[in-house]
Amino acid sequence: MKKKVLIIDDEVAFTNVAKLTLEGKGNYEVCVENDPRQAIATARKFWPNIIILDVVMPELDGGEVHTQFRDDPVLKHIPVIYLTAIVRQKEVDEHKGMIGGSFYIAKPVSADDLINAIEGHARPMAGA
Amino acid sequence: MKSESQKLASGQDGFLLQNLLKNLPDHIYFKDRESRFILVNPAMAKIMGLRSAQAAIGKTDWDIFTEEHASAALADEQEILRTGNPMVGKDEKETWPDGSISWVTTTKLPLRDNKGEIVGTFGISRNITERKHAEEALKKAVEDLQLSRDQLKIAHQQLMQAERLETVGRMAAGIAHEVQNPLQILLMSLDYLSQSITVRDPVLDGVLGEMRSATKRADTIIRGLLDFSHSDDLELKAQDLNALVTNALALVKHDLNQNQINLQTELTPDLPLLALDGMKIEQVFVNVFTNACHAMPKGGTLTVKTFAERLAETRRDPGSREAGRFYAGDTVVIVDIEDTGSGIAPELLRKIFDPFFTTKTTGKGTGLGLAIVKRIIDLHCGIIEIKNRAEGGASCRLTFHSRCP
Repeated sequence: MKKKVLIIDDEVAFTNVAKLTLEGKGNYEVCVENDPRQAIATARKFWPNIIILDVVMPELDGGEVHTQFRDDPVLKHIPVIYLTAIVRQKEVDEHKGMIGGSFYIAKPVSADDLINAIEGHARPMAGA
Repeated sequence: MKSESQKLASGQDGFLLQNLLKNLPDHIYFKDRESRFILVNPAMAKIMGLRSAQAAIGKTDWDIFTEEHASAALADEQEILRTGNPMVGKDEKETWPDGSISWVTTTKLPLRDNKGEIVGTFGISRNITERKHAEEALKKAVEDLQLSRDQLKIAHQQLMQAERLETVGRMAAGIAHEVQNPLQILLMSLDYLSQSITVRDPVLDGVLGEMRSATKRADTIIRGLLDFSHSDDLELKAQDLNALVTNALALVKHDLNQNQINLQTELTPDLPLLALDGMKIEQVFVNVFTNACHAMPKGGTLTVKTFAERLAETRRDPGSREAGRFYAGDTVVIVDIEDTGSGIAPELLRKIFDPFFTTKTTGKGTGLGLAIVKRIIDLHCGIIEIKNRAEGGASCRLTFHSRCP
């Protein structure tokens, strides 16, 4: 069974190539959402095993999106990894990937490192 | 028969002359061909220490001044007697037997009789001692002003450099974010292409490899920029500087071996513990050692010494941004790093701490290394000095206070 990955990032070119790359591995089903205001609705339709979330986005930043997920009684159980350019790789390494209670990956990340993060944190969910 | 002085003082002309001589504050004198005084005015008599002008008659400069001054005056008068040419407005230093010194400006002329024959000399000297002192004071003031201007220029350059560094730091975070998103797209696309191409084509593999290298290089530059902008965060703890040096040397061991560089260390034991951010200071050492290795691509010697010393004098000129860091009497710990490489072109030495300045070829260095190093050392209130060695190569001296948290 393929893991379901929801990528929320306003950068269309990135989400397109990330979807291609992950689905090309054969293990993942990827849904992308470029409008953070639609993130909750998209997640409720897709029910991902893991969410890859950008931080700096227009209209609504990743922190606010994450708060909405935490406030949702069901979505709050889906693990979230921030994938963002605003942290330094050094910071992520020093804190073993966790800063302020959240998991972080620093951009730019390779496909292998992104897959390692997904495999390390995604949780299986009962179908919904 | 009238004396020479009586001849001079007689008649209407004599009356006028007497008034002139009596009232002028300048020193006026008449001498014969043997440089003996034949007439002086009261002002001259006074500085000669004589009760009257009459008492000067027959005396010479040797009776009044030191030999040094008297000889010089005689030489001038002999020249006037020989050539008939006047000596006009010469500044003379008068040295007196009591050791005091005064300055006069003197004009001497040939004294001619009615037939035009030179029978002696006469002169007028004006005391310019105060003016001379004022000139010397002015000259000193100008020199002090020049020094202050040079110091101000240095301080201004340091301020500009600091502002440039601040600007780079502020811009770094914004630039990094904007650049790393496109870099992410490039990297992920390369990964996709690599996994999608099923036919092995060495040319294509090469191209993809070059693209990946270029992407990684851009990423390295951005990371360096971010490190630079974040180098203000210090975690100070009591650190053994020798341990940090040793760790850093271990990290560059590969470069040392690859370039066949001979390593010599003189690490003084039991140095005072220093309040340092260990990771950042190690980063400083690694950077400096790496630069030294790169300066010796075909071998050489890297020498690293550590020692403590008590400063005999304050280390920086006033007005410097680094003024006040180290005063006479402070105990400091010093790291000296020397290489036997090619050195640094003298005209480039003042730029080496500028962000993005590098002497390395494209792709071999971002030019941020020494800017970050200097930033880290500045944050530790230390001093870094890099210069060329007289015997070739370059040296880097790092100075730290010996205070401990």
